Amino acid sequence: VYPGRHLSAVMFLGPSATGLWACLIALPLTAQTPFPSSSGQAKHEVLILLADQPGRPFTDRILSGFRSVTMRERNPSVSVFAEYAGGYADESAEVAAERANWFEAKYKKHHLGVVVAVGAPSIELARSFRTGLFKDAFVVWAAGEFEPRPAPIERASGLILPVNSFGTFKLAQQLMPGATYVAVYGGGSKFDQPPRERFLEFLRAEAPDLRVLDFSGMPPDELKNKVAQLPPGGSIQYLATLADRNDRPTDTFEIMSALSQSRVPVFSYEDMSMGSGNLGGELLSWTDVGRTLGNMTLRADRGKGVNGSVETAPRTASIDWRQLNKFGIPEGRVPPGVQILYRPPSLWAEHRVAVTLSALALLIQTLLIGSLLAERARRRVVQAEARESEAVASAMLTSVPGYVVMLDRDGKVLRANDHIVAPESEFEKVLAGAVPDSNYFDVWNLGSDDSKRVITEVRRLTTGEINELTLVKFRPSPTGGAWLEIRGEHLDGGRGGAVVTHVDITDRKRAEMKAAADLDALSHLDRVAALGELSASLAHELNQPLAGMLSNAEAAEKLLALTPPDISEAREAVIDIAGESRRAFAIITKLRQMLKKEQASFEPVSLNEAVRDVTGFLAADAARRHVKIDLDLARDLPLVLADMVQLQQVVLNLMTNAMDAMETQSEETRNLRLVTCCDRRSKLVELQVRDQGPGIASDQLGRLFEPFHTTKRNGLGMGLSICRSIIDSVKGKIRAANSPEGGAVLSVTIPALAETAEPVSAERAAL
Amino acid sequence: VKQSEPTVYVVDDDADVLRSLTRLLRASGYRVEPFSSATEFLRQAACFGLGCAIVDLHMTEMSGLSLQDCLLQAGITLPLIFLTGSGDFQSSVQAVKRGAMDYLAKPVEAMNLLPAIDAAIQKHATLMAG
Repeated sequence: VYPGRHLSAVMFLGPSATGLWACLIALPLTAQTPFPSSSGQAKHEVLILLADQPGRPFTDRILSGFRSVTMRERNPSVSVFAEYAGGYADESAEVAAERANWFEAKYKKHHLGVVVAVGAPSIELARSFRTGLFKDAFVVWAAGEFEPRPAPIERASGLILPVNSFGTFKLAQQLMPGATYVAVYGGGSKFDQPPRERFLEFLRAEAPDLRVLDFSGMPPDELKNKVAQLPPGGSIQYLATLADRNDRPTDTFEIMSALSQSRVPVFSYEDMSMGSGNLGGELLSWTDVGRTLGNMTLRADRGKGVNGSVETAPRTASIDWRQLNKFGIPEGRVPPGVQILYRPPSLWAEHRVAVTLSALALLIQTLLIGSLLAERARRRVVQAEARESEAVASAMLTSVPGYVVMLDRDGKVLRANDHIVAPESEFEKVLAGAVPDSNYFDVWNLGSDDSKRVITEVRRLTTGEINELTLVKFRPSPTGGAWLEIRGEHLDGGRGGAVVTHVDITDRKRAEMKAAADLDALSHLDRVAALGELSASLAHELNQPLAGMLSNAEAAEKLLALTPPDISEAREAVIDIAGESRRAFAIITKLRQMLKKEQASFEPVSLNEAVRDVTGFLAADAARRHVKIDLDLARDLPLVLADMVQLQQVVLNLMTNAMDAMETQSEETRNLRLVTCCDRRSKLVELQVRDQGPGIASDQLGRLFEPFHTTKRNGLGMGLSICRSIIDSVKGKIRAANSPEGGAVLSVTIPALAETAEPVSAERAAL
Repeated sequence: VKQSEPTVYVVDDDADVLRSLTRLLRASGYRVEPFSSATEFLRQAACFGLGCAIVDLHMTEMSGLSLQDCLLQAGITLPLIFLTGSGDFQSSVQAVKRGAMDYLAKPVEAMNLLPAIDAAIQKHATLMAG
C-alpha cells in the first residue's frame, strides 16, 4: 500500500507547495500529454508526478519550467505525461487503491524512461511502483528541505528544495535594522508545523530581544484584523502555508491580501507572494525548479543520470522595489546581489528607440534653436559693432579739421564729412558732399600745373597705383585761395577708391613763410652787421690788390716810356694787373654774396668749402688781430643740404666770436682751430670751432643761443641766435661747451646727405 | 753791389703788392731788393748800404712797428717809409713819432712815393756822411 495515499505520509515539496500536496484527487493530465500512448513507442516517455492539482499556480510554474527545457529540444525526444499524485486530502484507502489501479491501467503499455516525483506523496507513489510499473524508469525526485528525507530509491537522483525563512529574516533585518517586533504567519495544518517551529526556534536564537507575535493558523479574516492593528516599527514574516488551523487550504494571494492591510512590510520566501505585497525574501522560483528537474530528466533520459546524487535548488534573494518605496526603506540598505524587481523601467529601457529618436530630434532642435539664437545674438553684436564703428567713423570724420571725402575708383564722391556749416565755393560744396553725383577730379580741373598734379596723384591713389599720398598745394580762388595739405589713403575694397583729407594750412604756411622771411631778414641784418665790423679788415683786403694794380699800372707806364721800352716787363705788369683785379673782384663778389638779401636756397653744399671761404675772408682780420687759424678738415666729407651763404654766416659768426673771445689773450696763444668730421654711424657732419679764450661761464652756457643774449659790450646779441635758427632750418644742432684744455668749443652738426662727398681732397692748412 | 748806388728795400708780405712795387721802382730807375717778410729783411739789415726801406705797416708775422723796433735796437739808421691801410692811422702816427721817415696810404701813387724815397735816401746819405 502506498503510504503516500494517506495524508500523514504526504511530504511537502516546498513550503509554498504544501497546499498542493494536500490534493489527493487524481486528475489525469490528458490534455497536457503531447503524444498518445500508441505513438509513445518511438519516443522516450517521461511521467511527472505532481503533489497539487493542475491549474494551481505552483503546479503550472513547475510544469512550465519543466516543459520549457524538455520541449526546447530541437527534435523533442521525450513525451511528457503529468499526473497528480494526490496526498493531502484525507483520502480513503479505497481511493488510493483505485488510483493505483488507474495508474496501472493507464501506463502498463507505456515504457516510461524517467519518472519525476515532486513532493513526498509523489515520491511515495513512485516508490510503490518501483518494482512494477516504474521498474525500468530512472527516478528524479524533489523534496522540501524540512521534509523527512525520502528513503533511497534505486536509480534515482534528487533535488532538495530549500526553505528560505532564515535568509528571508536576515534580509528583513538588514532592510529594517530598527525593527522592534516580528509578526510570524505560518500555516495551521500539521504539515505546516515543522517549518514554522524551525523558524520560531531560529528567531529565538538569532534575535532573542525581538518581540515575536505568532499569528500562525489564523483564517484570513481574523488575520486581516490582527495585522491591521500592528504598530509601525516591525515586520511580518509570512511562511509558506498549506492550510489554516481549520485545515482550510490557504491561498497565497488571499493571505497576501489580508497581510497587506497592515502598516508594516511583509517578508516572505514564498515565490508567488512576490508582486502581491511581499517586500522581499530569499525566493525559490518554481519555474527554476521545473527547469532544473527538466534538465535532470534529460540527463537521465540520455543515460547520464547519476544515481544517488542530490542537488539543492538555487534560491534568489529578491526585493519588490514598490514595497521598498512604500515603506520608505532606502535602497542603499539593499545588500549587494539582491535582485530588485518591479522597478519601473526607465523611459530609456522601455522605449529605447523612441527615446533615442526623440532625444536626437530634441538635440537637433536644441542645437538648431541654439545656433539660431547664437546667430541672432552674434548678428546683434555685429550690428551693434557696425553701428558703433559707424558712429566712431562718423565722429572721426567730423572731428578731422578739414574736408574728408571718400572717393570711388573714378573719383565719384561717395561720402564726405558734412561739418562744414555753410560751404561756399563749388569746391567746398563738393568736399562737403553737398553736390549729388559730383566728381572730385572735376573740381580740380583748373588747368594749373598744381591742379593737374593733384588730379594725377589722386587718380593714382584711387586706382591703387600708390597707397598713400601727401601733397601741399595752393588752390587759388576769387577770395584769395588757400594752401591745402592733401593726404590720401587708398581703399582696398572691391571698388577701389580712396579717402582724401584736405586740411587748410594757409595760416601755418603763412607763418612758415613769415618765419623763413624773418630768418632771411635777420640773417641778412646779421651779415651786414658782421661785415660792418669787418670793414677795416675788408678794406685792407681790398686795398692790397688795388695797391698792386696801381703800382703795376704806373710801372707799365714807365717801362713803356723807356728807350727802348721794356715791353716784356710791361707785359708782366699788365698780366699782374689782371690777376690783381680778379682778386679784387673775388673779394667784392663774396662781399656782395654776404650782403645780398635773398631767400635761402637749399642745395647740397660742402661744409669744408664754407669753412675755407670764410677763413679766406677773415684772413686779413685774423692777421690784424694776431689770431692764428688752424684748419683740420676731414677728407671725403659728405655734403649737407643747406644755403651756402647762411652756412658761411654761421662759420663767420662762430669764428668772429672765437676771435673776440681771444682778444684779451697774449698774441702767442691766439689760436683758432676749425675741425670738420663726419660720424658715419649717425650720418652727421660736424664742425668744431675751438678757441683758446677764457671759455664760457657756466651760467652762460645754457643761454648762449637765446636772442639778445650777449656778453659783448657792443654786440646786438643776435649772432648765435641766428646761427641756431639757420642750423635748425637744416635740421642740425648747434651746441657750446668748454674744452678740458681750455677755451670754448662751438660745434655744429648737420645731417649728411647720403653718398655725397666734396670732390676736393681735404687739406690741413695754417693761414 | 756798388757801395755808392742807393738801394730801396721793399718789405711786404703780400706777394702781389711786393712784386708790383718792385716793378714800379725798378722801372723808375732804382735798385730794389724785395723782402716778403720782416724777419727775412732783418736778417740782412746789418749789411745794408745807402738806401731806404718801404715797409708795409700791417703784416701778419711781424708788423712794421716791430720791424722798426728791431732796427732801432740794432742801431740801424736806415730810413723807413711805411705803407698803411686806411684804418691804420694811429699806428702811422706812432711810427713817425719813433723816427720813421714818412708814411703813405695804400694804394700809393708813384708821384707821392718816388719823392719820398728820394728824400729818404738823401736823409740816409746825410746820416751816413754825418
